[in-house]
Amino acid sequence: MLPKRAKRRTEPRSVIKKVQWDMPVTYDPHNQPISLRDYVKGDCEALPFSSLSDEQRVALAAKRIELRPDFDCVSVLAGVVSRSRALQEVRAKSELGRRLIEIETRVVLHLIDEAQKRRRSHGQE
Amino acid sequence: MARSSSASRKTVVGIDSNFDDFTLAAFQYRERKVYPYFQRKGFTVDKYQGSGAQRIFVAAGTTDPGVIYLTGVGHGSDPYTFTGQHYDPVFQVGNYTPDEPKGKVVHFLSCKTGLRLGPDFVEHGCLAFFGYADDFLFTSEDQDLFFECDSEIDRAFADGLTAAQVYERVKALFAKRVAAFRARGKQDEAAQLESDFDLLRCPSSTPGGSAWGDPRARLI
Repeated sequence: MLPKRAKRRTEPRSVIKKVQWDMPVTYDPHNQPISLRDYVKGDCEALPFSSLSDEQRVALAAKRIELRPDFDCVSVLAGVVSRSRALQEVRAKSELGRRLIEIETRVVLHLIDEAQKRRRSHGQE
Repeated sequence: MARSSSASRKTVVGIDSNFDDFTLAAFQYRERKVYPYFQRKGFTVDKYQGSGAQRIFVAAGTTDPGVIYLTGVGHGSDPYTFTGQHYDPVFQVGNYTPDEPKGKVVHFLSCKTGLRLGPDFVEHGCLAFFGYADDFLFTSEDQDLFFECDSEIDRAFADGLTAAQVYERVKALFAKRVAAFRARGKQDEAAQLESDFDLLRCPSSTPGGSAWGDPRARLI
């Protein structure tokens, strides 16, 4: 694993773009997507990411790929991966699809972590 | 085949296919940033690129006296094979002679070769193997940043570091570029690069890293 950030900030702050605030990071108990913005506000009944089922994680990754304005991925094995190809792979849970799900999971966990840190330190974002 | 010089002491063998988008992009990067670096550090570079990146040419070249490092870009069609131009199987488990990897350090930018080919090379005398356990993903917009991180392996070995020190330097560069992506709001690119790093297999990448060789291995 790459090294965690040192206690004293020695690297540039992670920027969360508006589109990322609007993207879903989890679901509510009725399987409705919850955006990062709403998740951090805490005024909705959001499921912790860790409690999402495999199917929910697949659907979440697919939704996030759909919403990305600039999807760009090249695979050494598969070549240029278009958005539609990525969605097919994710939904089929192919080898490449699982990798894309894993990458979206990393993004979600990082964003939740960053957003919560900001909320704690600033009271709002 | 473009062979830049005859074999001599401290020879690096570069094996680069360039027949599709990925291999061409990586080949071009390596031509600009990797081989000139080795040459500046006093290494002789023998290149097998494009149509030269085929087993019939490469096999003999790797056993020339003085060859100490093999590096290249190509598809890893499966965990057992590093392929060259148009998927020619350059190195395949069970289909190479032990003299080819013996006594050398090896780095391939190639999917999956870190899984089986790397440990097989090490069983046959390879000093250290650096490669990936799965698909290497990158973005077209920032491809050079991904290639830069991978090729830090080559530059660090050229600087005389041990395999363990190479891994630490590569880890630091990956982390720096991941942080830079995040600072630009490029969260998916950051996660892709981080994921690529986690797939790197080499002597000190995992607690059982000895399967990929000796952490003390070095070129100089």
